[in-house]
Amino acid sequence: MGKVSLYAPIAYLVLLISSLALFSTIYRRRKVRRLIGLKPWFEEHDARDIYLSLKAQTSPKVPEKMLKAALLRRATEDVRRIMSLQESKPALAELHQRGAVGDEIWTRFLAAEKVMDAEVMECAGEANAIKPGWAQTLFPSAAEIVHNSRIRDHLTEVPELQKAEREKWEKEREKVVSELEKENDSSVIAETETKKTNKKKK
Amino acid sequence: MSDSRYSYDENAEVWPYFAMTLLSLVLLPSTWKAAIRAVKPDKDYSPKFENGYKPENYEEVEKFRKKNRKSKIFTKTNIFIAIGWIILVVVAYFIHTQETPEDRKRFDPYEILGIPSSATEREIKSRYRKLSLKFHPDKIRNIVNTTREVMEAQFVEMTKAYKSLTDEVTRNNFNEYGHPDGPQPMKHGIALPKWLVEERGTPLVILGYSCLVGVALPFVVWNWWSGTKQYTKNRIHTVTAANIFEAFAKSNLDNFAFEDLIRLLANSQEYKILIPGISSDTVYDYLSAYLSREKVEDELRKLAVVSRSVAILDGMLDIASAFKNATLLRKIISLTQAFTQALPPESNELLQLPKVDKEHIIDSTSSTLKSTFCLSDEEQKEVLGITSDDDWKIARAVAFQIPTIEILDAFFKVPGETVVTPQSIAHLVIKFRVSNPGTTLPTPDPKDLEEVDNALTIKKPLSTNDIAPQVEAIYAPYLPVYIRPKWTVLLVNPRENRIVEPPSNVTRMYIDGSVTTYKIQLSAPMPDQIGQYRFLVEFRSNAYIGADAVRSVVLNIEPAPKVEEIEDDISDPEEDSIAGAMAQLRGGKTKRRPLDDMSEEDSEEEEESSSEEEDSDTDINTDTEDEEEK
Repeated sequence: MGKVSLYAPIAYLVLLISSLALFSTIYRRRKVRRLIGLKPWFEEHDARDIYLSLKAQTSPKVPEKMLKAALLRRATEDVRRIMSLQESKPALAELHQRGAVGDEIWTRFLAAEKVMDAEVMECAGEANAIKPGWAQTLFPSAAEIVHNSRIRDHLTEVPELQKAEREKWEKEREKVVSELEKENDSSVIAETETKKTNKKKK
Repeated sequence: MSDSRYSYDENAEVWPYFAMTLLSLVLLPSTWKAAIRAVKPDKDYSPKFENGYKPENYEEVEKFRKKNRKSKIFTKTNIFIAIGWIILVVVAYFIHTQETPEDRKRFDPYEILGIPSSATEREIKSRYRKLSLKFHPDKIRNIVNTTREVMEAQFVEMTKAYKSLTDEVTRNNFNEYGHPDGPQPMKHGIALPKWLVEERGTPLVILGYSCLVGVALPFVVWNWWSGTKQYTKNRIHTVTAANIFEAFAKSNLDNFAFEDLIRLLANSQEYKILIPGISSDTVYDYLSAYLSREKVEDELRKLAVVSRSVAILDGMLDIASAFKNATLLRKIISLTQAFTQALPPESNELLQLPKVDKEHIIDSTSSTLKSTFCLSDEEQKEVLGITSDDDWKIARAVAFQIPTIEILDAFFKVPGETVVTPQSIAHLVIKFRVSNPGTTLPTPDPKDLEEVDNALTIKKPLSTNDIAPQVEAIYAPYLPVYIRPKWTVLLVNPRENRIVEPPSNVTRMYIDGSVTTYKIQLSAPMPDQIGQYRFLVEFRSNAYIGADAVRSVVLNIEPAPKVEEIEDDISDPEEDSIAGAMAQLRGGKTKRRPLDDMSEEDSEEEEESSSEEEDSDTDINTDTEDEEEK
């Protein structure tokens, strides 16, 4: 049996640890890259951008009324987004739990929630800066606006729906009527035939 | 005494055996498995529908199917198995050609002299003398066939044996330890070739080992892990699943049109993996061409795209079920039917039949399978737009194979109870049968529609779901893959148009017209308000258009029935006797003991009071009522 020099275990350890370290760095770097590459859940927040640019504008200064309106719009968009998140969260949680969707979308969703939390905080801060205590009433009124616009959307949809439904109904009615007529005809024919045969018998 | 020593396999004697054992340990089971897989016929393929009807793209479809079937034998695993067998054969050959060294033969003086081990010294001496007379090198000149050297060697052996047996110490040693020199060092062989352990092999071994542990192992695990993470439980790509979820989450589900669904489907990641660089618009064109039964230039590619779509739609259905919107679910199932039959969604069901006149049927919108095949033969031909008799027979044969569900009854049931009480855990019992167009089944026997509890159904109510046989293959000449027919069962709250239970799948049913029972365990307890609740039970096929069934079911939440004292002590067994328990399980009557007696017993025997049947009139569990009062 040959002797094994002391360097052997050291070399082994060095090789093993370095290869594992290399693996872990590559893995982590890839993970970070993947996280950076994630698409945000929502598109650009236009209302917020408009508010910020209005606020930043100095010459001529934007009137306060306009700024307030822009902030209200921003809050409205925030509420809309939060509501949409809240609506789809149970579905996503269920799907994620039973493995029907991947981890990536779950990460994106949680990130979107965090972003919205921060956004709401910032929006409230802005409101309080314009007028102390406004944040308490800003979001309820924004929510009302959202509800209102939803109902409005529904209302505008109604005529179209009505048209489609009416068409469907008419088709169905025609179908049933034609079938009934057919049946009627055939039964009339059958009746006359039986009458004839009866007469013949007589 | 004996010292033990480890030695490595210097002459490469043992390690081939070791390698062979290891290899065969892996190879034999995997080969067995592969053989079973290869021999087992395609379950989904049924020659039942070989009716001579060939769609326009028949050749391509067959080509595609054949390509997919062939790959069953030349899989990656099978290639690995083959390589393994080759290595095994090489190792076996190596072992076979290897010579067993002569010196390994044990030295047995008794055997050499040909005497029993119990022989005395005198016997040994006389034996040796006899043999030496016979075998002495000086006397054997006349023996043919053996060379002188061999003879001499034999004689030397004999002398050695004789000496060892005549010497007291050596003989004792041999008798005790099996060796003339006394106890031998224990030898443990390690089945590794020696070069692996020698010093000059060290760097190589270390390098190999670190490569294995530090590079190959993480790589394999990572590959496997990201591979499993890439696909969801429904075997659809996570990107596809994410796209579908996002689309559903961000839009009004009631207004999701078929076209949106097909666009969503076309956007799946699977297609991009299947055909690198394909755009979702091209996929959409392929899918639309398939649905309108049009041939495209690259027909095989279209079929490859289409072959994935039903599976993705299944995954889409699963994701949609989390949103609970019944309209969306119905639409996805309709789309699945459309894909199976290669027809635009919500087409006339007669169009699935072969040989029919497409234009003619589209004009006559009023016909269904059932209504058509109740007509006389000539009228049937007229509706289908078929002129030839043979064509009509083919179409009719297919139509008669289409199983149409007829829900006979549906009700809610609590195991072992006759009414559904508030907050109980119930299941939905659906009694249905399969009828085919053109046949009228007699009214079902009311006995078949009853749900009778026995000991098994009380314990496991859903055990009856697995009794009926699996549904057979489906008729889908345009679909390039074989799919398993199933019916998705939706339980819908019609007021909110939402499903109240996740969809479940029925794949087992009697197709001869007898009644099949299907039960769904409800995950939520019953409402705690007494009253009537109305639901819709929907059976929706993934294969045929017009094979669905819908029935309204009423959930009656009733208060627990009052306990009545039945003084009928002639024949009924005592309630708390074994016979009584049996009678209760059968739904029979039992004699009830006086109330104070019961409560006394309760305080004494906790166990008995908590067993399910006996405690209807104690204060522990008032909402589960016994059978015997009715």
